[in-house]
Amino acid sequence: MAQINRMKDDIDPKIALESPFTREEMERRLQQSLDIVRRIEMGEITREEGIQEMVSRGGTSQSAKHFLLHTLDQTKLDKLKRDSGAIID
Amino acid sequence: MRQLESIAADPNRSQPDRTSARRGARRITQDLATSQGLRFTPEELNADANPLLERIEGWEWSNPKRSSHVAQSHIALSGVGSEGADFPAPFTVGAGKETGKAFDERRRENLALVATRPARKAPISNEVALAAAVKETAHGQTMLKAALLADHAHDDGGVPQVTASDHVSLKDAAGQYYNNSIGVLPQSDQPILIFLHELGHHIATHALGPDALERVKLAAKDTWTWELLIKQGHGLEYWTDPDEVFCRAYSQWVIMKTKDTEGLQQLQNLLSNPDTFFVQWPSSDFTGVGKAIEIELKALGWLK
Repeated sequence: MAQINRMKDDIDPKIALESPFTREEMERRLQQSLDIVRRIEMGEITREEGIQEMVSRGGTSQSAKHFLLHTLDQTKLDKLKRDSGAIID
Repeated sequence: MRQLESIAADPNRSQPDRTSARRGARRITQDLATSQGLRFTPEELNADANPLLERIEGWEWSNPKRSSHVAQSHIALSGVGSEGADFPAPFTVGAGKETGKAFDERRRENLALVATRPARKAPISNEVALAAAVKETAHGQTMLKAALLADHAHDDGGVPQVTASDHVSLKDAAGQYYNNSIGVLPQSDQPILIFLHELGHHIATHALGPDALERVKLAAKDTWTWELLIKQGHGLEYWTDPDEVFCRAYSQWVIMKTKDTEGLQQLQNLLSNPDTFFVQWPSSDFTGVGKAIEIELKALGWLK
């Protein structure tokens, strides 16, 4: 118990990192993002249109591209990691 | 290949032996890449930096000529006092995009971090070598700051040297880790977090086993951020991979332990972005994950 308490003290409990979104909003936004991925995969929209849609919902171009990289292209990235050890983040 | 990497990382070996082993390990990696249909010139095969990431067809790569000449330049911080005798002379090239801080200001901040660093047997920043391309830039100093924050957070048991550069091979990526090299995109919105994330890969590769990563993942599973991820079903596997979970947890732990304002702001920005709010943890959700990181670092003897 003493060890746990000491560890607890290591991170300042007053640091308040919070998301502005409610749980429901988070679930909805994540579903919307995954729906964009699905529509790109189905050829309904282009990748660029998907990025624009994500930006219009409040994201940044960088965060949108990053999300699509790790959803649409993750299989390729996994293979690259398996074959070479290279990790793309 | 692991044996070669081990020789390359062994500080007790002679420099020629280490260099030879490092090149041998890279050659094996390149052979693997060639078997995947990738091709290399003799110059690339003999280069210090690995060109693998530049040669995968079908993807758009950023700045494709950069990594073939990543000249290493190790900045030794060990024993450097606040006067910073071992730092390069001040330059003003390369403003830090993330906060607009220029090289001089970042360098001053880093000197202060060195001066206030707890006594460490082996500060991990000693193993961070800035590539020549970033050595005298604000971005290089930003990455160095992240390494110094890691020094403040924990000791190091002797990971191999890692080169830090601004080279990220894939245009939509923010960072990469490959063959003891870290790349952080200078235009990234979270350069400190990303550097620490990639440093986490280096630590996971050289100091932690798969069991340790699974233990951290187990702690992460006990968060509502995780519940949010798995509730969506397929498509978010990258964010539940044990390596990635560890790196995100490690980077957040370093920032929260050091209370670095800039790093905390970068964490908060991720939590506030509708595309990334699930990537890191709100503080109330992070307690168990942070403890798991501390347990693993204690097991390594990197934390008292």
